[in-house]
Amino acid sequence: MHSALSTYLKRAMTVALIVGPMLALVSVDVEARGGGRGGGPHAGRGGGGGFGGGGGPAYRAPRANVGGGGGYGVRPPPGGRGGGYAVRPPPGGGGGGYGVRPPPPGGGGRPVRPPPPGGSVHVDVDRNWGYPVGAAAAAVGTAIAVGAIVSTLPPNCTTIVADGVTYRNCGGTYYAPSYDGPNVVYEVVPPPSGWNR
Amino acid sequence: MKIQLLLTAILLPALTLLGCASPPTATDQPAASSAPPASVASSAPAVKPQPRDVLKQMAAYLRSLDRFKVRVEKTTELILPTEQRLHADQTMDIAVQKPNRLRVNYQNLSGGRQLFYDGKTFALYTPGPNVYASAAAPPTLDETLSLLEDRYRISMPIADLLFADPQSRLVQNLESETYVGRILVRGVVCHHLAFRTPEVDWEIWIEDGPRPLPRRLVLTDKSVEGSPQMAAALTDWDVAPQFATDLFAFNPPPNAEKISFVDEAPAAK
Repeated sequence: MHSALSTYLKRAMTVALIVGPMLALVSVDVEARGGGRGGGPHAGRGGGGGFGGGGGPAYRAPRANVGGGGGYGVRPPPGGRGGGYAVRPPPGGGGGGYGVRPPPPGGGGRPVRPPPPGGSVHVDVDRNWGYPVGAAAAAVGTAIAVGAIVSTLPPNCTTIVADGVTYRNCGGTYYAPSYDGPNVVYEVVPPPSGWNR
Repeated sequence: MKIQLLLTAILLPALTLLGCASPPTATDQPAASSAPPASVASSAPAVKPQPRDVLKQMAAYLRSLDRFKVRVEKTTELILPTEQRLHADQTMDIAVQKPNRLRVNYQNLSGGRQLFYDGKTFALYTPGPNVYASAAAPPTLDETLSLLEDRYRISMPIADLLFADPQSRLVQNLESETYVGRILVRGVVCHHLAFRTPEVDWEIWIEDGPRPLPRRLVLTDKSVEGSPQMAAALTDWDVAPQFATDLFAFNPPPNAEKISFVDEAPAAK
């Protein structure tokens, strides 16, 4: 009896030790992604436009147009890149609980439009200060994972070119710039091949 | 003597303030020299206009323009997880030449960004980090606007008004339409219309007179919890602008770096 319980506890501890850090990594990854992407089908009503240093899909924004039907369209989840959203815990703890709102009655059978993808919300604030969008940004600096996407770079980066692709080397972490919607974002990439840090 | 000085001190700033606060009727219409300035005392129509007719007039007028320039001052309401509401401002200058030229300058403190479409390709350029991306574009403005929005997630505010037939995009799914009345918007007499769809309540203010231009647009997105709003003022309309020949074509500045769109094939990997 006693030994069974201690075995159970040991197993639980082992699982916690393994899963715990994994979850932590995942959540950091998701928050960092949210800064730029924010608009996946699983992302709730986020649609973050990415400001304040990758602070997650921390706000809800309206569409920018009356419509015209089929404007946004349902975007398929980006292959192989959007995995982070699927494991995101349901908002509720600190997320403010914004889920997908049920369609208004009498909608004439028109499907509910997905949230505007992150890039469609043109938010241009002075990124040196950002908006008070939560503590997620602070977490990014501690454990930034390959694949994470941020909207601002840490200071003191150098530009390197490898195989015709330009990267930013910021203290040994490599970033590749790209456009996410209309915003320039930086994705953390593995060190370019043949490039010794 | 002292009292006189005091009065002057009070009156002078007050007068200055009054001067600033007078409606900018003249400055807002650089291209309106041919059109009579909107008169505050213009007589009301005998019959209450149908909202959809006013919309149709605006659409027809926009369609009749082979080129125009407008500034959009947009405020987007953001609802934080704490339910605090913030309002984010953005100003952009839009230049259109039918049937297939578009240029948009987005202003922000880090240098803004520019969008080019010349009938063959479109390009996005961000001067701050000095990066750009470009891709092939369809031969019409309509198709390009759709491509930008659907594939590249670059949504143009007031894009509805840039399409060749704004009317057809605006009147879809209408549940109700209201002619609210006539009102001054920045000194211009406008028809104020209100519409409802299952997802959006929206209002538009359209200039009353020979130039039925959209002057203001407000929408409430009911499909998003908390129903955030977007409001856009359309100012500095120029319906006969002179465009530089290279306004719509993007030539990368020296040292500008070409990058990809996130959703493109991951060339950076």
